[in-house]
Amino acid sequence: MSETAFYIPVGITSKADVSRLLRELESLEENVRQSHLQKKPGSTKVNISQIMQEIAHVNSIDLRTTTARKTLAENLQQLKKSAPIVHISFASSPRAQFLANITGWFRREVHPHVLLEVGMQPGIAAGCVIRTTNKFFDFSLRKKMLDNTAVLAQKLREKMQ
Amino acid sequence: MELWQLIAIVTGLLIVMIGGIFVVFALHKKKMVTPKDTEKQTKKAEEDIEHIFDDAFREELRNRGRLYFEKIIGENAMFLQQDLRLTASQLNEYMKQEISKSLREEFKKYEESITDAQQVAIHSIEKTRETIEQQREVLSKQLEAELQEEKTRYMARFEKNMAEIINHYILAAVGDQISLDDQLEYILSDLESSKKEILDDIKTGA
Repeated sequence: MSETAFYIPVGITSKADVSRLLRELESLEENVRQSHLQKKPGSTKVNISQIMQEIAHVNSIDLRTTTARKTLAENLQQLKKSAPIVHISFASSPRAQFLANITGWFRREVHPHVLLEVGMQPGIAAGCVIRTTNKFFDFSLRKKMLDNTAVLAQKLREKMQ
Repeated sequence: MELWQLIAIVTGLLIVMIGGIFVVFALHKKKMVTPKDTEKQTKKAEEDIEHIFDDAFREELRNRGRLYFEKIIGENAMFLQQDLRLTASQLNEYMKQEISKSLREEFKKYEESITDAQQVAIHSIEKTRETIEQQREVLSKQLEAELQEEKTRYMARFEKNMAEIINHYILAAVGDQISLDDQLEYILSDLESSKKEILDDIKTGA
């Protein structure tokens, strides 16, 4: 899989999304095969999800051709297997648009095939916590407040004096 | 004066008197030229002597001698008494002086000993006081340092706890109030600040 040739829409954020697309592709493939067996090609109406349409569109893939479907499936398999994973946690569950913004930043600035593993940590209050393969980044409000405990203590001391 | 000295004096006087008498007789005898005269004179002298030194005279001489002897003895006894009194007085004075001197010396030594002991005691007390003062200063400094350290520790703990309480309160208070959409800008700026590290880790990560 070429990193620059295969585009992933920001709607696909996690491995689960990729797996879902793969299952959808398999289902699509099965429907097409059933239609061929019934010798009525194109007679079966298949509902294709919006995200599938989007990925097909950005990669100029015609889902009606078997080769294209197969190429997409291979690319998705490769993506599932080798895409860099970033674990990111928020204080509350993020909305899709918010997540798309975050995913877009990662794919734009870090790697075009980054997948996110989104988690929830109410304790961080605000901000996010990020874990990459070997590193941990705490951008939470809790961390910032703990880092500035000395400033808070200084202010308390000044008030007490 | 001793008694034997008195006796010796009296005896000496008697011998002188008898000697004088013999000298007088000898001179008187020299004047007689002839033996006959001499014999006559001797005889006469003997008679005279017999006349002079009769019993009454002897008794008188004896009485005189006794009186003189008693007088001499009385005088000497008086002198002796005076001497004794004087000697006793001098002895008494001498004893007083010696005893006073000894006592003064002893008292002086005793006073010096007391002074020395007092000096030693004062020195010892001074040293002890200095040591106690030093110990007190050391203890005071230690106590002050420990108090300061304890105060600092308590203050640090208080500040930490207070900061944690305030942090916890703020997190609990504002955590639910800030929506993720409002945080997007800050999150992206944080990501931007750590972009290089994230990029490096993604590139080099397994």
